[in-house]
Amino acid sequence: MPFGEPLDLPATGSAGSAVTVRALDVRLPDAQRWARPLQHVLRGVSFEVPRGQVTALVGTNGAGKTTLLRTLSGALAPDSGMIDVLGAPLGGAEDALPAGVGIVPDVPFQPDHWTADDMVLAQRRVEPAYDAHLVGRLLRRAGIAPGAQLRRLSAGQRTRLLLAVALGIRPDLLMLDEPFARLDPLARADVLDELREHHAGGEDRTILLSTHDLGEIDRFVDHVVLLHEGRVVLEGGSIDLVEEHLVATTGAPSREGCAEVLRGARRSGDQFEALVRAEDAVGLDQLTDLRRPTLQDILTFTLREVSR
Amino acid sequence: MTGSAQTATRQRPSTPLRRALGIEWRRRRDLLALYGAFIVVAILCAVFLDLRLGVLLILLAVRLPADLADAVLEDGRQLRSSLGVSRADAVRARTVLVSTVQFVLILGAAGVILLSDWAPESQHWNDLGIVTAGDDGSSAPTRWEHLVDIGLFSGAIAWSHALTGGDAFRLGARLTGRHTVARYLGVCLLAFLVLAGSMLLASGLLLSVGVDDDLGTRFVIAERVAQVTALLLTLGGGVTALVLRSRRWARRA
Repeated sequence: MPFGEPLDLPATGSAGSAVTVRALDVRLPDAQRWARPLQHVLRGVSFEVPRGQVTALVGTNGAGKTTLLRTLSGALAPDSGMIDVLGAPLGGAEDALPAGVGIVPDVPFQPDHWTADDMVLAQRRVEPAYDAHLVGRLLRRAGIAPGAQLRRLSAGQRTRLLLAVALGIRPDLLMLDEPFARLDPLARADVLDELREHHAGGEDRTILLSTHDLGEIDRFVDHVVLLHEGRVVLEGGSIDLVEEHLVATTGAPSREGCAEVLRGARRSGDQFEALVRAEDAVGLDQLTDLRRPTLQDILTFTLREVSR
Repeated sequence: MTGSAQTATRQRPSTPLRRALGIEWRRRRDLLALYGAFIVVAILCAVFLDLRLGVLLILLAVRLPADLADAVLEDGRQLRSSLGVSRADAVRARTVLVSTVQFVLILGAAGVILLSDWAPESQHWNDLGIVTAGDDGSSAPTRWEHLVDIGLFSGAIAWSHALTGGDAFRLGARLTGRHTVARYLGVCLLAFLVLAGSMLLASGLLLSVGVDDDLGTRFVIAERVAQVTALLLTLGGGVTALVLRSRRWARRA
């Protein structure tokens, strides 16, 4: 379906969402061999990023997270579907990212001879009320000189610099691609603090970050979108997801009526462990142990289930 | 404050095309300053020395779509989109920048040609890299002939930009200067064939209607007709093709 062709869906995003994506399809050429047919990277992706919340876009390597974020920034052209970012349509050739959106890529897309000053200058020219003082403060905290070129910084420092430059926008929407991937534990904690500080600075401040491992940030995340092989396989509020699921440990996962409700079962010694919806747990054998899962548990079991 | 209200109050301080042009300029200004310096040197050499660097300026203009292409395509796209530039405006800005710099380089090359001290036996086609046969000491090219040459190579540059510009957006640094030069030479060859073919055709037509060939009248008329035809097809066609193709690139961005 060509872009912009009416879908049986709302024309714009819902009022409570900073980002709305509907039936998004993206095909990309093979990076190495252009003669090959296009790769179908995103397939009918639909989800919402609630305004004022922290949403984690989770998935294994190659799930399509980076492609999705690049499409949401307007850098990639989708084949079909609908994207709404802060009330502005995005995806068409003429659509531009609205003001108030900060982007932190996994690898800097700025020329590597650019300095922090160059990056701030570029943003100041296009963003109203850009807060260069805040950037200066964040850079001092990270120990980055304003005149230091990108190529001379460590991977962790680059992330801190990119985050500082994006936070200078005082963004309504901050999109980060694997922000913790290249950070040591100390830097990870600092970045998380900066994100928390930013998020606490305004009710409408929305954060969308991609990661392949929720790890220690699961308490920071309000909403989760799980992506697998270009499809959304799970979406929901963190608290809802945890409350709606249980981890069942049983010795006989294949019994009739039992195997159907167990998802992503894995052997753990003589026992089998699997995810089960809370409402389905009523029918399980009394010998089955049930415990409340972590968010990471839910994602792991779901991924195991859909990978089969 | 609701999010939509907040969005409405955040207006970017410039138009999308200006933003796009600003980004292109900031990323390329060092290279463009180098080109500017080279134009000045070439013109000074043409005025004060018997050294004609016009062909180098033409080659720089021909290579420009490849030389200004993004080294890493994805990085360029992300940088522009993060600064609020749509893909279509990015294409328009690049096309405007390349065309403008090509125009300046062409003016430089034209300056070199017109300011050079042409010896009677010299060949103005040297600036196109094309050597005409049978140079037997005929008179120096007139200003009109220089202008025709300038028009022809300008048109060939516009054609080569129209033919390679789309690849620059699709392939980035995979589009090399060699590709653009090869296409430019192909267009030059076609322009020469159009020129020669038009001249033969016009000459034949004039002969058939009985125009006298005394004092070379038929040759002069046929030559003018051929030059105007070649200019129309090369320069007029090249500029038209570039405009049409750039609209297509923007639509497909």
